[in-house]
Amino acid sequence: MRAPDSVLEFRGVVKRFGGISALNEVDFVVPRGQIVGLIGPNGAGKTTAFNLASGAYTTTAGDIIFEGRSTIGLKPYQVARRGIARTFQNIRLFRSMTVWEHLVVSNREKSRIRNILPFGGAGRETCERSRRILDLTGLTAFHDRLPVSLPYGMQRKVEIARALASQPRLLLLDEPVAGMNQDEAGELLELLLRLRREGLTILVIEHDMPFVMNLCDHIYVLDFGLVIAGGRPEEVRRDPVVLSAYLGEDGGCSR
Amino acid sequence: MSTYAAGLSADIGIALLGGLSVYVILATGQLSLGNAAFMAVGAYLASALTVYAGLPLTAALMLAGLASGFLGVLVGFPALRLRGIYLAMATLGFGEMTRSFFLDFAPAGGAGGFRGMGPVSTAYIWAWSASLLVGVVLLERSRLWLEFRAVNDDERAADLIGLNTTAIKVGAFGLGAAIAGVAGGLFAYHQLYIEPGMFGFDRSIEMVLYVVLGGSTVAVGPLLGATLLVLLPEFLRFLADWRLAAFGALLILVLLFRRQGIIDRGMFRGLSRRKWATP
Ligand SMILES: Nc1ncnc2c1ncn2[C@@H]1O[C@H](COP(=O)(O)OP(=O)(O)OP(=O)(O)O)[C@@H](O)[C@H]1O
Ligand SMILES: [Mg+2]
Repeated sequence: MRAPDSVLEFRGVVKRFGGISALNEVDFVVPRGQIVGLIGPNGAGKTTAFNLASGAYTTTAGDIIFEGRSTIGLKPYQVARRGIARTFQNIRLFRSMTVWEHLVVSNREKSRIRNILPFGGAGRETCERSRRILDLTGLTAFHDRLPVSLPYGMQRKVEIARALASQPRLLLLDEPVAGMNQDEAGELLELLLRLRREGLTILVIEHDMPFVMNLCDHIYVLDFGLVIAGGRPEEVRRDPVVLSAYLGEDGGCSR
Repeated sequence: MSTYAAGLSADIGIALLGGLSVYVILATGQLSLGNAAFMAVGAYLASALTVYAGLPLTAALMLAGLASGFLGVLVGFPALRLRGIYLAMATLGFGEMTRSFFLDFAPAGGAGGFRGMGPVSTAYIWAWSASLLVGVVLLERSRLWLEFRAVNDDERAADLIGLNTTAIKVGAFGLGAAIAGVAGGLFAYHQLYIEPGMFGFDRSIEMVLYVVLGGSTVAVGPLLGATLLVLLPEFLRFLADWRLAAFGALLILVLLFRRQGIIDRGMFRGLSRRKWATP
């Protein structure tokens, strides 16, 4: 079943590290305007899928299609410029930069001249967009702070804000709720739903099940590098294959 | 100004450019221990262009800067594969290679050196030094500089947000080398005589010290570092043989207490609040 307008598509994607197959002929589709979840036990290959989609790793076999064109062979920065932005499971912010500077540097500047002019990196348009992102992510009051001075949950938001600043059409979020408290997770849920209403497509890895179930339009389940299930949240929740994968992971074999 | 003071002031101007050449490259996280080589290329080229080809000095310095910059780009590419101490060693090797090239290169005078350059005023030297310092200070306020810092902070993340880290690192190498080339040309005219031994490993280290001591996160850091390192040996003259030891001790003290150098970006944070017309 193929959606008419898919933003991202994995076709028979294989990724091996030496002897280990992190991904084994993985197929999935992320339709435009939807929030798709990628779940599965630790080591299932979820982050690997993100690293392949963003060009950080090269595929062993298979094809990755973004907006109708293959991204195989592209460097990470070329993939990013095509319109994919991501966050990292282990936060990777720029330690010397304020929150605002994260947004300025992530925002693509088309004019080479403006890029080298003093104070030129933040034209009126950039400023307005960045302010809006700060507002959306609730970071306005912290725009002048360095990430190290912010609590963990807030740093996750800075990563999301930085990703949004590049004006992506596909956002990849790797465990965005990890380290957030209940309130922050609630706010993030609202934010992501709002971004979807504005037309952004999101692929999210998350272990927090209630969060995923509330957020996603569609969920894929990865286990040992294979997509073992896919469907609407209610379907996936009841899928016996999924249950056993998770119970197995929890050491719950003693049924 | 006495000729002694003028000479020191010119030394500072040239040292500043050497420091800036290291600073620009270091901004992208690359430590070059071979910048004396770019200086040598600039020195010989500017000298030859004026003495042999009769070019005006200013034009010759510009060409020397361009040529050194181009060489910097060439060196920047293999440098991409190296990091940290390995990059430092490789650039050091490049520096020694360049020095021995000039030692064996007969048209440049070989070990006998090269002369024929006329004297230049301290004001002329400082016109270059101040312009390039202002240029780097302005560049520090551009978005491009944020790209440099992003590469320094986390190269992989920079790549993944869409920055062409290869172009940024190689470009920084070229820019730093160009500044070193101009410094070399001015140095040749200030000294009136150049020989390969003047562009050895110790000169490259000196340039790095200006940055390490003065501050490696703001362009005025190298200015302070160059000033201190040129003047201190003069002020410490009364220590006679102990001069170098005192000098070393001072350097260690500064590094122990301020690893980022005497001046750092934090000191300017308040001043640059309106930098990006923040909300
Ligand atoms: N760079 C790498 N080199 C070698 N093996 C790797 C590398 N990256 C991932 N792997 C392996 O690939 C498998 C999948 O890892 P991955 O990080 O994609 O899992 P994950 O689903 O994101 O897990 P988690 O929920 O713990 O984040 C693991 O066995 C891991 O050890
Ligand atoms: Mg993971």
